[in-house]
Amino acid sequence: AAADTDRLTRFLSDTRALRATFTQEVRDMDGAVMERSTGTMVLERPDRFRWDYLEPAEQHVISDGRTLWLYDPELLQVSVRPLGQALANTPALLLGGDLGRLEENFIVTPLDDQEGIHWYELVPRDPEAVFQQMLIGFRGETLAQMELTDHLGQSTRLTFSDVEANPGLDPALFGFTPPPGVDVIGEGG
Amino acid sequence: CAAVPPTTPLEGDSGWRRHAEAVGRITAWDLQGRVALTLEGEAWHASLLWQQLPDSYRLRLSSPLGQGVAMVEGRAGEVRIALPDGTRDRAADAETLLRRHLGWRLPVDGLAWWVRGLPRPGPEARPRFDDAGRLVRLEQSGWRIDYLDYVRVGGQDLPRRVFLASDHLEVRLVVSHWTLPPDGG
Repeated sequence: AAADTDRLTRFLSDTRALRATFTQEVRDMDGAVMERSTGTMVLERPDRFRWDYLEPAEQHVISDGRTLWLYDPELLQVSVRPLGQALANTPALLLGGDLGRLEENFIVTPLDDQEGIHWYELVPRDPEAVFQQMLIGFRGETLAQMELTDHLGQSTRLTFSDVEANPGLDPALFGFTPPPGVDVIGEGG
Repeated sequence: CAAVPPTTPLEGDSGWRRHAEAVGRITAWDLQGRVALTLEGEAWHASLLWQQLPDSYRLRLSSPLGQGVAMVEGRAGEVRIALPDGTRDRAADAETLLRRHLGWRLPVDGLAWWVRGLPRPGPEARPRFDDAGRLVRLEQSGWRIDYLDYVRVGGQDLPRRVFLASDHLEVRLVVSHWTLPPDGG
């Protein structure tokens, strides 16, 4: 049966920090897989997160709550920008964001369970949002999957494993110091 | 133009000529990679999927988390663009659309040659070769193109990392996968 939104609400209020490994699959509007990548993710409320893509190539998306770094070692470049303008309504911000902003930013609808996963549909209230619709799925109380559909019909499915709620996290994880030889473009928040 | 004539302007030693001729025969590919564009002090990262056929192509740019940012589809004489805010537009060439909607002056027709490690036919080119007869640097059409490394694909060496710079835009491309049709297109 479709549960009410308490599972999602509990997750957002009880989970101050999270660590998980993820696989990311991007599909085009015909459903063909365009890209598959894996990595690890950590986050800590509010708005601190780190997505380390490891395969097929290394790429890092890091926020300390004010500044967003996007570091690509092979391109020898890191782009730096204030977090606010960069990531409104994206999953990274949502997972790190607080409950108050959920209802403010999204229309939340519990969906029917599928294969033991409790799904919620989140539609951004802001039409300019980066994606059209987001689904969040829980296995029991644990975050299991997310699926984002954007305005070009592309969908990104994130599958989480080894999920740890409220792990102890080293604050240094949420900062970034460019190694020598890397071009730094832009300024932070 | 999406049509990709097989021959290229060939100077340089015989190693280069053999290499350029072989790579010039590749007129279809799937290229999966990442690109960083720097314009007026602001950098912009995207993953790129470039599907090229002899007479048409499709370029897809997505943000790191997979959200579609732009899709460009081209056939000889007509190019279309689709953007996340719902904008759809058409023009005779991709450069017009990219400039109009994203502010980039990027010669996509030229890129179809440069990304293979070849000068584009026509404009004057100043190449520099490595001892394996491959391009290391190319100056053409107001762009300086540096080939940082190559990767072996289907019997050919194709660029893996390419950094391109014009007076107003810098483009850095790393290819994670080149996929060629069995007969090279």
